[in-house]
Amino acid sequence: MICSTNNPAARRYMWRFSVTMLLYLVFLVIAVWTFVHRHPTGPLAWLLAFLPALAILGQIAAFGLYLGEEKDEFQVALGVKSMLWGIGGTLAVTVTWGFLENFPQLRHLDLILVYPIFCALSGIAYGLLQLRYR
Amino acid sequence: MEQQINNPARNHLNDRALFFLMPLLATVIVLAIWGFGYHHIQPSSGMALFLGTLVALGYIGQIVIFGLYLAEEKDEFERMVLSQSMLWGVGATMIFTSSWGVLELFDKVRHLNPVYFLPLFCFFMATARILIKRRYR
Repeated sequence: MICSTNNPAARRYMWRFSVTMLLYLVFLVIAVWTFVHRHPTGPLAWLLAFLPALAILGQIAAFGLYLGEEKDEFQVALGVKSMLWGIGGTLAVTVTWGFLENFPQLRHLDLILVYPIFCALSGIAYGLLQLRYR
Repeated sequence: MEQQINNPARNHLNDRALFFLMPLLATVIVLAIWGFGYHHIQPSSGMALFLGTLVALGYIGQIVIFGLYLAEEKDEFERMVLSQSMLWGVGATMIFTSSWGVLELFDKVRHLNPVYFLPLFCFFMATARILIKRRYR
């Protein structure tokens, strides 16, 4: 697994990913708490909404750095492929859901769930690709 | 231009886009504008799911065609540019949807239909590709 590897690029990536994931959770809690208790409006509301996205930006940057630092071409290809499957799956789910939202039976998709869906699908794709090439 | 013509991966991409993707996207556009937009189609739950999946097929096809191109492309530089632009596209789309999601959660903005995510992703990715190519020119 990537977590138990001796590969320095992978180790750095895991460290950066963990820090940004922690920041994402902290920022999300801060944003939700402030919206619930302080009811911000105007630029402050937009700024708070952007806080969790800032951590997402950090995670994407961490992945970009990993792709740049990783010496093993095979691992780079795996990373890119799993991201492609992740975004493909996410877009397929969201587009299908979006069209079904035209009908009253279906509730609106919370957009806050899009990034976790992407992460989950990319993770599953990474696992499956690793199994395929084992 | 000649390089593009002699590139088999690019030729495959063009063929797949022309013969598979375009008919699918044409179906999606007709269905979206005529069927759903003007409410000519009022499907039941099962039919709605089928039509929704049919619509998503066009988008899935686009991703599959892109993935195949990425696997077949021999030019390392082109692959690197595409991977980087995809990463920027994903990042920008996720930032936009997450920020909008938080604002939407507390009724600060109206609901954004997830159908618009793919055009948004394509726009961000194309912009990133142009900027990355310009950087390496």
